[in-house]
Amino acid sequence: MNQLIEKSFGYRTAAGWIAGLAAVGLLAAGPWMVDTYYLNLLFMIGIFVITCTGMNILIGYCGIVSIGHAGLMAVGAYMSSFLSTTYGLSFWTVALIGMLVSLIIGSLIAIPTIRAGGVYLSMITIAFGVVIHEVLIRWDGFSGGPLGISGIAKPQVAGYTFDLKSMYIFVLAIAVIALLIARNLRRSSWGRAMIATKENEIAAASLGIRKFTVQYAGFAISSVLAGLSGAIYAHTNSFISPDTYNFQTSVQLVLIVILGGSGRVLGPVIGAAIIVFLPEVLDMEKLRMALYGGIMFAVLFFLPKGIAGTVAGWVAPQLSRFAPKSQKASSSTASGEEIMFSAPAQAKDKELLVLEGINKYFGGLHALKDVSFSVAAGTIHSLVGPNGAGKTTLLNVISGLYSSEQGSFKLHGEKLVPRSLSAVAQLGIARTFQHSRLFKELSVLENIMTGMTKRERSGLGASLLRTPKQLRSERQMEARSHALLDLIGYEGDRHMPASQLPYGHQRMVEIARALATSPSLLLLDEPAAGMTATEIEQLENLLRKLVSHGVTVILIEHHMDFVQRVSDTVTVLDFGRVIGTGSPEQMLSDPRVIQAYLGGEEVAASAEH
Amino acid sequence: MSLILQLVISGLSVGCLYALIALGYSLTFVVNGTLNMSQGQLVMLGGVLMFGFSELGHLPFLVSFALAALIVGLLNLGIERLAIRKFDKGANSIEWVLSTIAVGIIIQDVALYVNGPDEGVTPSPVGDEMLRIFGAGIYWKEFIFLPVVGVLLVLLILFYKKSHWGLWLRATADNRTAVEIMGVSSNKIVAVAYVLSGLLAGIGGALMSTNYAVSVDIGLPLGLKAISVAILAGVNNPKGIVAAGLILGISEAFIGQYISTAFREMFVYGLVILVLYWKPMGLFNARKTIVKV
Repeated sequence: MNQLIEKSFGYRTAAGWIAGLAAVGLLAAGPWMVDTYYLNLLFMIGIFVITCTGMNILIGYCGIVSIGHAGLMAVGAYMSSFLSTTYGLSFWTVALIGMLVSLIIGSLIAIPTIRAGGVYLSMITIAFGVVIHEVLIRWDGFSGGPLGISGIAKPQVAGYTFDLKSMYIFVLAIAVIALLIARNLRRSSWGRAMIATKENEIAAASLGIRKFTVQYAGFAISSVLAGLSGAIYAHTNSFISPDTYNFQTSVQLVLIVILGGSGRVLGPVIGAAIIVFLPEVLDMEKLRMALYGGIMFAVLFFLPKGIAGTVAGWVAPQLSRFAPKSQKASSSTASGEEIMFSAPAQAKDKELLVLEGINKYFGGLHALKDVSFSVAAGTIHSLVGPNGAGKTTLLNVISGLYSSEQGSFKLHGEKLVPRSLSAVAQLGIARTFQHSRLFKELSVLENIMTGMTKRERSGLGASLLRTPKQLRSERQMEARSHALLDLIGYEGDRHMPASQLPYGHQRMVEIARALATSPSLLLLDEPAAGMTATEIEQLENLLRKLVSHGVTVILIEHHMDFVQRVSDTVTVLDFGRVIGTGSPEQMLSDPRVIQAYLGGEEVAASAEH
Repeated sequence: MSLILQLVISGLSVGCLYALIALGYSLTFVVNGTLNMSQGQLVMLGGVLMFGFSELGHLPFLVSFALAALIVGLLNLGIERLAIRKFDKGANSIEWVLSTIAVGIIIQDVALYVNGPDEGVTPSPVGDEMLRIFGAGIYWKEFIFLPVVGVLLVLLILFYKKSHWGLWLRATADNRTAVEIMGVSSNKIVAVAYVLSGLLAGIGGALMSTNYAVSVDIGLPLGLKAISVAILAGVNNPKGIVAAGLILGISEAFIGQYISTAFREMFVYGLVILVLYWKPMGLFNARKTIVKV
């Protein structure tokens, strides 16, 4: 039995497709198997699946909760109904216009609120939903007021008028397409960038990923899908009124996503089926909203991953027992180094980065005082100094995370203005952080691939449709990521979630992720902290390899013997000031440096005043 | 001229209620970065309880007032325990947004079930007399909000500046870890912030019911308006919130008088969106260290 499963494991993609096709085929036979009443319910599930798949991208991938998507459905529904009843335009035209207007209005809300961040967005979207509802009630000329719009024509194509049965098939097809889009997105650079931004905005930015771009993309997709499902609903039901699109509906949409399992492609299907059938089973008039609230609360409390997520959590470990033991890609195709470094090594004495008179204040604290030094290309330049000396602050200033008050930078001889972390990352400066900032929801391999987002990103459309070109670029990224993992000597399972990695591996994978951006300058903030002696040795080898390929490294480190072994140059910082720059032997035996570290009488005395 | 003065005073008195409710968001947000999305429903509850105690239960005004405020304050303690503490997992967590929205829905629907859809006004102890200032006429029961809220704000400031709880609240807002190291349970302090926030909601609702008709469905729009105030000012800026609340109250009075009462809310939310385009962190917000991602 086990052997059988083990053998069939290789065919699990095919099995998934067959199961999916069978389910869709069964559902497509629905109109001839159930009566109109149940067909209507199935149709509603389809409508919710279309909207909620968009919201799943927003909530599950981007980590943004919108509680106003009923408003966007209303925009699609009313816009298309108004145009078709007033001007007699065909469904296909008005549905497109409905999607477009929904996208425009969604963008108007999303653009300022995404910049402002999480809770603001939830608040504004609630307000948006409420305002749309009010407008629909009051703007008689457009919306027909509280009575709504009736007599909306059914879609027609070549003389055939759609009825509920054919509309159901149509909705089923659109829902399947929406689900496939969500699935494709999750397996693309865009999807990874969304999850990366959700999990750790700063780490994502350090790879050149702009939060606004990816989150706006998520919002735009969800707006279009909401508008589309609104238009389809209106033209099937022939009648719409404001009460279909109130706050409660928006809450219901969110509930569908989190009940089904946010971030899971099939989540909205499960959630929608439950939420549509529940009132049928329970038959309760009063306290229905309280029940929804109760379910929402219970899901958050007991099933934080939703139904699909929880089930997958049980099934996945069972299945992985049968997975073939070695999943490592054959690294024989090309050595990691060959793939990674095409650029020739630069001359060592050229100055890569020059800092001149950098000053940084935190309120009254003068954290960096006239810091100036230059970093030669293709060398390892270490920053040392006691805790609080300003090393990490300096790294943050160079990488654009903090802005400096005074001073200038030169990169490759040209003036560098570190505008933001993501902007600096795109200039070829990568960094790691003092504390692990891996994307825990993504696998080890995906973490590395996220680092390549900026260099190889396919267009959003190509990612949603999974075009052959996008697939090729995905394969290339995968191969490069395997090569990088080979380079850092990572031997473990590459498809396991990064959250399960031991600490030392986390640090190494983070370095590999930073390298995936193909930087010319790599900033490492205490990479050896918490590593075992063997791991430090590995790190040392890696750094030497990098330098031999022309990568320049700025290293903050407290392991002095390690610093002494690997560094070409050492700069010592104390109280935000540069004490000196020179060779490791020279600097680490300098009396001022020893005093700064161990504290001399003079220092102790001056600290008391 | 007297009409303008009348509008200003009337706007100020409703604005100070907005400020009071919006401060409830700020109190908790500065402490641990969360807020109760069902604050509006708590205000509604305060109002409905006030009406119930004083009109249906025939309790004395002040007793009803204190009971309404206390019940809402304690309810928020429960909300913190159940809907916030487990779900507050750092800056990007969204679970607490969802859980407090769920709480709001439950409160509103249960209130509807128990209370019914009726609305009611609690008679104000200051009566129905008019106050005349330079020819402008305003009801005492409306004007009284200004001094009452003023006194409340002074008490709140004193609590913050003088009591050890206030000190801990300020310290936690500054650095939660440091407070933990000092051996003070930060959970306890968060709970205090939530009780305070709930008290403000309860008091706001009870005050409101003495001049406006309260029913179970005023919660959501009120909460949203208070949120608008918080966003306009920057949610971590209490002084700005008081200013923004008053400004919003006055602008509403003028929009209602000169443009349209029907679309008043739309103007407010439109304004909020515009401000967010211009200053994403609010008009009066000053962050200590700006991280540029």
